[in-house]
Amino acid sequence: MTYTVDDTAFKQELSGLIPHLRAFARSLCGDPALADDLAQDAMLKAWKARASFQPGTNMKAWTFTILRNLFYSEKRRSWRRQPLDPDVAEATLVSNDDASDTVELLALRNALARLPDDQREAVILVGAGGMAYEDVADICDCAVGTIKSRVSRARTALAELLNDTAGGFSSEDGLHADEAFDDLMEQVADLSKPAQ
Amino acid sequence: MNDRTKNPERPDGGLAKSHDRIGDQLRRLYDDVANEPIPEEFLKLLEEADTDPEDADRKDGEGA
Repeated sequence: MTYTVDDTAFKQELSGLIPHLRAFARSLCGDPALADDLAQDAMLKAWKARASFQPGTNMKAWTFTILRNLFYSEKRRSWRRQPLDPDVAEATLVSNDDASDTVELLALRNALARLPDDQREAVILVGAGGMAYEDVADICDCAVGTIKSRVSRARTALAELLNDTAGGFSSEDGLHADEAFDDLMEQVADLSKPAQ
Repeated sequence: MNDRTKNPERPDGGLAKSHDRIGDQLRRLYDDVANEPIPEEFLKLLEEADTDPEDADRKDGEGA
């Protein structure tokens, strides 16, 4: 059997969405290899389900819904067993030359990991992925107002977490500012090790 | 919601600025991954998806 014109167009558009699937997956589970696993499964699932996609609608939101459902439903899968861990360095920020920039991004990553799942995905999709509130509401299967309030609470929580890190760092685990900074610098040092 | 309860001495401008900064950093976090080259494995998997072995050699590589 050969592809129809629609199949070819679908495949082309889907392949253009791979970078976004990877970025969204990485934001859900920190481990880059597991995240790529998740993104690949979502991509193949989207391809198999192509008949149910309505041409002309937002394919990115559609594939994100598939990816998100996969992540939350398949609890036994490895990516679910390794959720974003606030205390583990994510060796994912390798493309930055500027060390202070890297420290900031690591601090943000750690702060994100401390948010509840629903706030984290909302602020990532809206704030990082630049998606419309309406699309995110579809993806997360809830009301637009709910997404707006999740994003707003997430932003406030992030600002406070980051402010704490930079200033007094009065978090519940009682780290002092200099310890927190040392911890971040250690993570940065790990990142700058040459790849094996 | 009132964001100022925890930092009464900080003017709103400071909070807005820090939100802008967080917005920038969030985009960086996402874009850093999105801008990586697509791993070969993804393209190969998609290319091979639902391809019949008999005519597999006919359809790769056009991409127009």
